[in-house]
Amino acid sequence: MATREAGKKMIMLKSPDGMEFEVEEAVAMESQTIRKMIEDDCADTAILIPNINSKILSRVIEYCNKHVPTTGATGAAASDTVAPAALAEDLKIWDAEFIKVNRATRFDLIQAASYLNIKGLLDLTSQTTIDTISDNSLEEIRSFLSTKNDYLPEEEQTIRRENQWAFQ
Amino acid sequence: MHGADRLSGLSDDLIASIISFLSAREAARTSALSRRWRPIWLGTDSLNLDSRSYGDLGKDHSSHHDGGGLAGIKMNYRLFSDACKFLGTAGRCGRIKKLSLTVEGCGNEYFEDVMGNSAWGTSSDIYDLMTYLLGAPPLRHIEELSVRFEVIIQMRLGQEKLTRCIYKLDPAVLPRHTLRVLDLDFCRLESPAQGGAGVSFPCLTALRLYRCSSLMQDLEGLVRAAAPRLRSMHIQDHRFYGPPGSRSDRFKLHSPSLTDLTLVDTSGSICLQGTELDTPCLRTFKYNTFIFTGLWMKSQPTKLARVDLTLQWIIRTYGDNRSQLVLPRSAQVWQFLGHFRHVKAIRFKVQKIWCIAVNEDAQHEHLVMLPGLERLELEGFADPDPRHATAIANLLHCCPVLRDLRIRILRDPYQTSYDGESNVASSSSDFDVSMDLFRRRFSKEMVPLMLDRDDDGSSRVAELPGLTGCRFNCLENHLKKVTLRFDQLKELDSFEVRLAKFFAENCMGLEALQIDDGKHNFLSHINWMVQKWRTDALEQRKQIIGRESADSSKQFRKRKGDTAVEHKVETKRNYRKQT
Repeated sequence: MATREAGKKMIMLKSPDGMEFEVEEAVAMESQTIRKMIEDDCADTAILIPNINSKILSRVIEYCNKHVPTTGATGAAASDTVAPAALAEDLKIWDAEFIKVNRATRFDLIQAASYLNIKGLLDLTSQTTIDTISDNSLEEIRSFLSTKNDYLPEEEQTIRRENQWAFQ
Repeated sequence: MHGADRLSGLSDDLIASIISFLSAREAARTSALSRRWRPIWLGTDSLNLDSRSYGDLGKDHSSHHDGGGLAGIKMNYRLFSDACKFLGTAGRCGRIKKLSLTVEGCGNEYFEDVMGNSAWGTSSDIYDLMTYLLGAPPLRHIEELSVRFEVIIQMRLGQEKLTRCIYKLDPAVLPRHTLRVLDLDFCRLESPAQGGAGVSFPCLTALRLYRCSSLMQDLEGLVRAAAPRLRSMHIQDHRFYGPPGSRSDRFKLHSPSLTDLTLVDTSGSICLQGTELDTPCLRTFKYNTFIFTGLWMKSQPTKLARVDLTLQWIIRTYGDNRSQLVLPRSAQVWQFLGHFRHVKAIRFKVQKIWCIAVNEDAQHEHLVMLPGLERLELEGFADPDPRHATAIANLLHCCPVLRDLRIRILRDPYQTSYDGESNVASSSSDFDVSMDLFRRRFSKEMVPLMLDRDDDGSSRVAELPGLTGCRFNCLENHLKKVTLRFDQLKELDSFEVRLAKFFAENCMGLEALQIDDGKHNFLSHINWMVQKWRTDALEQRKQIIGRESADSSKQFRKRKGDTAVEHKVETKRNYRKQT
């Protein structure tokens, strides 16, 4: 990476496995959780992000980097390609590529997005999960989620009767 | 499967937020998954009604004669009653923030029946679904509203089945004090009562209208009423109706807070006299239009970073079945580009690239400098026309600090439409040949093919008059990356290949030159040649610089112009002899 131009505040994010990520403050503030920490002055040197390993954290930062709205002054002079504010459709295409990850990573991303409170990422990961569940029978969803059906048969009948409209 | 159970490892709140993306019916069904899941769906904050979640019932049978006309009415009842049950389930907690309605079908009648309120009259015996839903107490304070119609195109029914207007929406029913996102398809926005004076949408941040219609003043009014929060707006194929006189006005878009704007007119049905933008905070702008409709910028958006322009063409047909392609004139194109002279990135799509070319005698009059432009993506068709080179030269001249240039040259639909199929066949056989050659690449008979690429025809590629020999600031000092993409490269000595050669030989600071020539045979890729042009050019440059330090600086200036080109060719020949 080339040197940063002056005037951009950098924030250090630390993952529990000891990796450190230096990101622009504006990028980090895509996370409402971090934004709050910064605004409350709890983040002078580095922020430890618990529960999110470096692999996931680096992906989250990648996402935020892409989605941060650029201000007038971009770091274009330093980077090799110019990356201005992307158009909404371009972002959608980028998102679709970004979310092509295995299920475990996706669930980790959901958790990270939830903890860091990044609405766009939470929506993206949730929607992708839903797309895999939709149109499947309950049995299929159960096996997808490895959820055991712990209802007694008569209990399940009651539930189905309660919300009969959804099972017709 | 280690990761499989992770979803269940998430907290209930998080699962509820994931469920909020499911349709109402599917969300309710999750209650039967397991004891833990039973109450979770009651915590979702979205009501998504979706005709596609009803299997066969959700199919639009309106094209069938056997009583298919009832399908829409049945769906109307079903959506209505399921919404009631969803909202009325005991134990529901939290407030509903989002209401979405998605209907899939193939024709007007079905959609109108499902909505229960057609733009052309109300059926009294079915519910006006939207009005009912928006009036229901749990939904009176929603923040997001989305109404989408998924149209299944049936070829045999033709286009007249696709309507512009399915639902007549009275803005008075919208929860305007809480609404943040409004996303509508095929709706006709009615005029607000008393001219809409004093009506405001204080929270509205995003507005998307797809194939909707309204009076021009009503849309203008809606945008004004959405101040000060409106940030993103997407208007596609909107039609303004109204008395003929009212259509002669410009569409005036005034929003002090808007940052992202998309205006798309692909159908050409809008009779717009032009658009006047007063959007000082704009950051991204996508404009897909006919050049013939004007654009005025009332205030200069100083933060505008990215512009995506598509200029369409018109096919004008005459009474005697003749038709003519009407393209924008270069003066219009440059006048258009002139609005964006401080923008850093532009994507520009135009029918024929030569539309950009300006005659030499008119250049000082029409060309507009784009002094801040760092990234340019150009897309268009290129038929054999010498003006293409001029167009590229004009652009390079006007973008002195360009760093990243991407050019995509498309196959011309009007020239290849007839032999389209044979093209596919030949490209796939090309691919087979290529695979075969690749597999045998280490065999004896292949060695000469792989190594002896000297007589590859690269010398047959001509220069580009109007481009070769010209000096461009961006080429000398700024351009770092050039990406060329050709959808269909027919012959070796074409505009495309010459262009590749030009950049390989003349752009000295280049860090990356990417060429996708669309060929399926790896031995016929032009990259082999590009590599060679580049090495030759660099070699020659070295020699010149070497001589320069010995000679006077006068010779340096002599480098440009026709003599330099001759000189270059000569050096290349020498270089060949040496190797």
